[in-house]
Amino acid sequence: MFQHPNVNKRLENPSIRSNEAADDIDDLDLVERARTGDDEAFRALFERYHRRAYSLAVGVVRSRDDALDVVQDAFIKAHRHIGKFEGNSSFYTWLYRIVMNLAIDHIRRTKRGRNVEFNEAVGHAESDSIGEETLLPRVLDENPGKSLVRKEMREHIGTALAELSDNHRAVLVMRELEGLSYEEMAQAMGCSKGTIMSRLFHARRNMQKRLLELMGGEKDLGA
Amino acid sequence: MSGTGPRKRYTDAELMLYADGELPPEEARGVAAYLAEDAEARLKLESLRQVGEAVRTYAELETDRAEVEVPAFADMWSRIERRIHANGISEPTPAHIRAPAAVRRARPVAAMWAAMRRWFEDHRGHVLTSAISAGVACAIMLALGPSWHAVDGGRGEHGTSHVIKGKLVSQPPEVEGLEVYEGSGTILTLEPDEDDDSGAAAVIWISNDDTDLEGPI
Amino acid sequence: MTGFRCALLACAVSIALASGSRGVMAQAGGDPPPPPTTANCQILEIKASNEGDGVDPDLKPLARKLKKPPFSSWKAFKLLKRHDKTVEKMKALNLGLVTGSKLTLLFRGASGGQTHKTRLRLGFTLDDKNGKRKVDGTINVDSGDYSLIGGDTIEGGATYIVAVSCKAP
Repeated sequence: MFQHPNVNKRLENPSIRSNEAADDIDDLDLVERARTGDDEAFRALFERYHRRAYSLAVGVVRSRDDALDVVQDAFIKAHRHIGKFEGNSSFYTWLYRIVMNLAIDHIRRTKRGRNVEFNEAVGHAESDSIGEETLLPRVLDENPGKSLVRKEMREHIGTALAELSDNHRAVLVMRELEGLSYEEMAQAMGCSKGTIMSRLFHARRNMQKRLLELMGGEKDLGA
Repeated sequence: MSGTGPRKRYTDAELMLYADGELPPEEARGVAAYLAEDAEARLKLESLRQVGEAVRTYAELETDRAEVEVPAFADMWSRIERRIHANGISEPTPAHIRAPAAVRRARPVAAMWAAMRRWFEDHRGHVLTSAISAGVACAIMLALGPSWHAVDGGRGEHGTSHVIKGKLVSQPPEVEGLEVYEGSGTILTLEPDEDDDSGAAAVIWISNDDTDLEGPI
Repeated sequence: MTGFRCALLACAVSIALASGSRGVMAQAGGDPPPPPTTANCQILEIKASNEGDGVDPDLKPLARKLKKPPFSSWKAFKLLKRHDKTVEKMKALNLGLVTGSKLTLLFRGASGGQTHKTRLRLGFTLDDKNGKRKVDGTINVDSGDYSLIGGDTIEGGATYIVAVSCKAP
């Protein structure tokens, strides 16, 4: 029987470090010290998570400068409100919500200035229902994980991501980078699980289609 | 195949739910069996995996690039630190939030205890004098302090009986953040009158871009 | 002198502790209650106009507030619809409004409850009937207090107001 390695498990994510329980305890210790004004403790949290926060932000807002602003604002906000962190979740869970809220706020603020017709012109209009759309039974010629040292491959993926609608890109990034469940994403975006499912489906479908257009090739898995 | 009819076909959305671990176990087993027999479905699943890998690896590499190519990335902490100090201290920890149990267990107490013992050794005389004085002061306060009366007949806001003096302190509403799209917002606070038991109210008044000149504000 | 100052400081600290400890000693169990994970919210949809006079009896808790600016521009306040919902912490509540708009409420958490009234942190968004986001905000408010969002014009030239009040259980 075909057993997908991810069946009924949270998506394994190379960005998520192992030994999470021990890290959580360390984090809580740092948070407690940071609450008392220990800047070095807060800096340790920053050093631990700023890369991951940046990866998340740049995936959503696309622009490097904007991603830097989002991450900075997120850490400043986290520092300001660190007294309210109750330890019910890990520190990073709390932080990524701040990052996502700021990233989503950012793209909403800049949305008015952008030519949103572009997305519609290439048939990537956002929809909250899956309808008749299907996934393409085709895979890329090369494994993107192994090939991204090539500049053009990375640019193709960046292009495909940029062409997604903001909501589609946000759910795709949350799922693929943070391994969030549909429930967690629904809470983060203030919508239903059904909406998350639709957005994720569309995002992946559109990415798949665009990557095949940009990078070409198909492969028969059975060959 | 058993005589139970044609095998159920699963939609692509269900394949995606399966890949994301969002299906209940029984349905997941059904999808797994379907995948074993359907090459096209397996290709679709593999393509989903590739999309995910592309996104993750892209994000990692973009971050690597930023570390190397963007000076502002390396300077991020110093900018954050400046703004933290410019903004002042962070908000105080609410009284009910304590260190989670995991931290209390994990805290290295030995070093703290050793430091406390050293201090005590150095200031033994003062500590004992202070302890006696403190005990006397406590006893006097407890014996002579004013009597307390319950709020609302003894039941507090959380349904437990607790006794405090006077009423719970109210605070005015605070709009922490507001974003108004295609318009502007005005924030007001309506304070209660002296004889009004209801609290303050926050008012957020939205004016559209096509300004209504006859509006209240 | 050092010993005397130590004694004085210890006295001051213990007086302060004795004052604060009265309520704690009288409280059953001695530990502060955990912050609430749900809140009971009341959402009132209100029409403000100059047709008629007076405040709908169902709007009594807001009657005094509706006489003050900016609401003093209208004479009549009618309750269009009332919603009573329980919100769970960090679980968005989506509410369809009579105008076709959508209000989303997110109870982000609560604090206080010992010497201060319980303080609720609420996120909210308002989308118009076409799904376009109009407002997005976060507010910190005492349990039971109202937040009013207004300014939209509805049919007949009346003004539409949404009033939200959430209470910790």
